[in-house]
Amino acid sequence: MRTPHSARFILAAFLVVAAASLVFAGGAGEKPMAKSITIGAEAGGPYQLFYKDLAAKQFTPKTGITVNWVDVPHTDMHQKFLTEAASGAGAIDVFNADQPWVPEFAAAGYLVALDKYITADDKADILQTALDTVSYNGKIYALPYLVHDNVLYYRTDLLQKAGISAPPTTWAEYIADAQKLTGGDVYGTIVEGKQAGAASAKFLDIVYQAGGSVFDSHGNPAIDGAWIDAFNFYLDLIYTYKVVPPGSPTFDNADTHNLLIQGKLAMAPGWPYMFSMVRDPKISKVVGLVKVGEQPGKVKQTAAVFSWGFCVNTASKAQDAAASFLKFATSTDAIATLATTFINPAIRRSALDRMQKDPAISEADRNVIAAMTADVEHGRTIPMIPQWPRIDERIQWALSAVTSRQVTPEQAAAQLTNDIQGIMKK
Amino acid sequence: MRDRTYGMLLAVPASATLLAIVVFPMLYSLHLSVVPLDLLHPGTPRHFAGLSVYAAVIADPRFISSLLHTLLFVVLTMSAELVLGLGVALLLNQSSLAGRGLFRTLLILPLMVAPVVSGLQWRWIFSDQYGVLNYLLSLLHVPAPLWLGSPASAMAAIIVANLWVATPFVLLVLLAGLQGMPDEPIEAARIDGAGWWQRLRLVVLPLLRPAIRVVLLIRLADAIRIFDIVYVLTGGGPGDATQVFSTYIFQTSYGSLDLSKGAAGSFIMVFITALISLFLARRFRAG
Amino acid sequence: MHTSVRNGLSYALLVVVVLLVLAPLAWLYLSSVKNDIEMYSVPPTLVPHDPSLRNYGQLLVDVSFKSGFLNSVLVALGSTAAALLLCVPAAYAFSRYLWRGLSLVLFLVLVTRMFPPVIFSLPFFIVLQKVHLINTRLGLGLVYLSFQMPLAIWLLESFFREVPKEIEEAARVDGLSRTQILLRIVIPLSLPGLAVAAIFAFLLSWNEFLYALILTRTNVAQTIPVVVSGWISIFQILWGKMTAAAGLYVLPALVFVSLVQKGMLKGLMQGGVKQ
Repeated sequence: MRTPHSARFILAAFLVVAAASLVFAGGAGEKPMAKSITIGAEAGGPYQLFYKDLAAKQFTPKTGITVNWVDVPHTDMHQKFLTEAASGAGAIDVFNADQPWVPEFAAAGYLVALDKYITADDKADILQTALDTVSYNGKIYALPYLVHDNVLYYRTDLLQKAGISAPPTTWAEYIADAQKLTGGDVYGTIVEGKQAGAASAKFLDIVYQAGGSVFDSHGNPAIDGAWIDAFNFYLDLIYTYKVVPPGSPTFDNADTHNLLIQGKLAMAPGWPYMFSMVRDPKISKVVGLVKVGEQPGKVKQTAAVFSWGFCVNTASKAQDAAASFLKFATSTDAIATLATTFINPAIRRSALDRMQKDPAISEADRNVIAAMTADVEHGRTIPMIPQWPRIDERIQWALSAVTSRQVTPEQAAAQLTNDIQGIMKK
Repeated sequence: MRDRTYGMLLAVPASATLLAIVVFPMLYSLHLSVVPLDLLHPGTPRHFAGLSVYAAVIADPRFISSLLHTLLFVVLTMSAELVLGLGVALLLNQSSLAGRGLFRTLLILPLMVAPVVSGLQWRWIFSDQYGVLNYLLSLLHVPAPLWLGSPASAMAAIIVANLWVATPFVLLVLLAGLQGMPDEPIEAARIDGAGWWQRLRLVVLPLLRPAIRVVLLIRLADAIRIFDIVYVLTGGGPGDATQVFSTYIFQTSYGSLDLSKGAAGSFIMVFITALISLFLARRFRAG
Repeated sequence: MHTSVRNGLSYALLVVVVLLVLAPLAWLYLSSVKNDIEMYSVPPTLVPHDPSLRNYGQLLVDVSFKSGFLNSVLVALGSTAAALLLCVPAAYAFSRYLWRGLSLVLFLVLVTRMFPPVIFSLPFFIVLQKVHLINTRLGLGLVYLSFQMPLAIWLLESFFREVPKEIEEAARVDGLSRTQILLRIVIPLSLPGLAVAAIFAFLLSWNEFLYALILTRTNVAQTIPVVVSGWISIFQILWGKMTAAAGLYVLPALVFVSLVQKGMLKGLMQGGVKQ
């Protein structure tokens, strides 16, 4: 009696069905038509929700172009967009891009140069710092909607109680004030030392405040005395004066905003987004007690400016439609609405003007927005080179290694110089 | 038909399907590692570079240190997993124990929690200010270290978080092995007067060899490839102290945009894993 | 030592172990019912002040959560079924009819799972794109099949090998064909092993994140791990929503594992295992 063939039959049937489905399974409609564009953006991000709404209510009715959205988790956006772009799929027309990716993607040929879509009026109206953050090799490769840098948040009630009349403007004042403000379960301020991009961004502020920069005028790495000062400043805050939570070497911006809204910090450097959080009674214990000012400085008060924007994929089959979305998203109307909704710097002067004249916006908010915008104008952006992410990764290492006291600032500076030279040589 | 042909017929569908799915990615990566692609200068022509990318990887001190960190992690975690998994499996295997199925299900719950959540969860458990671990330690007046802030404790934290999700696998496989074991040899040993420890060492463990072998081979590959937990807890820090193979390769491929170096690094990693696996497979061969 | 004393000790130890293992999980569920202010309170609160199910309520109306759940279930069940169907015969062949060629194949099967997943993400993307399977459950399932199979084959092979040769030889003498021996003797005797293989194949698919991220784009195929990751933005981590989602996500896996174990027990008892 031969084997019943049932088992083999089931197997064969499965393989046939699988093969057939492979043949007949269509794509999930990912080929965009000329009258619709696909935008890859941060999943659940507040700015994305803002633009989804704006696109549906204003952009699509006005232009007839449908907008489809591909949601990507924040930390994975870079890898996902890189994969999509490198494969030449062209399924995503617009990338929601963090500034450091712009030179990288542009150098690799993934981005469309947008100069032909920008008028002279636009160029005059948009803040120069904002345009700097999206330019590479003299061309503009993205349009920014959010240009920001870290400002100093401070607790008006705690400063008043300690007899401090105004927030510090120099490092020395900063340390002195922080010492007065540390006590009980409150710390004077906070420092971020995690081996991560958010922390290194804040560290660059400190380097700039000490008068340093990453490259000198000849394009060589300039990891000099200013950097040592910056490292030592952090070490002083953590270990000498102990005015920051001891976990600071492991903190990033999520820890900063958590501790601020929990009321554990008297001062904190932070991004503009924190302002809305601080005012939200659903999550904040310090509503109405926090104001914003410029960070203190050693050589000067300044900060590193970063941006988020939209850019167009060269593989896109709907480039003009995509570019029109970019222009819409950074128009005076859109920017004015965005700045007021989120209490963020306004990237266009016309938008700022409009807000200053708008009675619906409270004076306090107007002041904050104006202050944040001015802060951006005083700032400077990072070197716009495709190697930046690699360099930043090494800065992250240096920051973490120094704040966890595995290397001295001098050792870190030497290693960093070496690393950057190696990266730029390739 | 002959036995050999029959065996082949049974094995072909799975092997062929597997081959069909993974052959392109493997060849693509191999190609990338010997014909380098420079994503930042896409116009440049690509040449065959022989083993030069591999040499560049081996010469990279960060690769070497990630190799050492990985091996340290692998040895520590696999030893702990085996001891813990075996211990609990032996406990659960006692036939006169009621509610065994429930215990077993509860013990594999860690595996059912989405890794992105459990990873973040552990990060907050180990955190300084709002971490519940240090809070509980403070209640007991035990000085609490800054877990993720120094190399040794960060590695310990990673191992603990990993044990939580890795030991259930070891537990289940060893338990299944114990349950499938014939009773006679153990009974015979007991009648001969062998104590519990002797029965374990001389009868049970040798019979458990196939299960231990497969556990080692599977877990070795997983431990060497560890990524999510390290990435979420420390990002490779502090100061690259917990940088492991996978985080190094990820950072090289997508951070530095050096896909070729990442591919070469992966093949080196596979080679090392295969060597150790061969050794373990021979050492724990049944019989 | 008396059996009852030993039992008591074992029980106590087991309870301690289970409590330690469940503690982080308990913390997870606790977080899911806290309100946002309390979530990150310093120091952490062990008993929520204002517990509520609002996070769970939010999930039940969240479109991407619901579709993600369905996708996760379908992909996991489909790929697990396919994996078992393919791997049971293969593992049996490797355990019984092993000759040098097959031995090499078996080792190569193991080698495929030594690669770090990140390195294959771009090539898999390219392949799936060519066959128009990007952003489909089928495409994702096929990729998952490629990791489940090596695991299943190796697990099953070691369990099949434990089945005593004498039983199979006796069955041969009785006139059973090779396939009948596999179906009627070997599989029933290896049910614990099959259960383990099924459970881990399922969990591999259930928890997978990287390929789900790269190979899917929208609700038609995105699975829960990707959806949940989307609630981490650089500005906020919607931890309440995430822990609630994880809390719910455990349930289908729990159901699957319980069913598999129950089925296995029934099979063991019916099969009259140790003859």
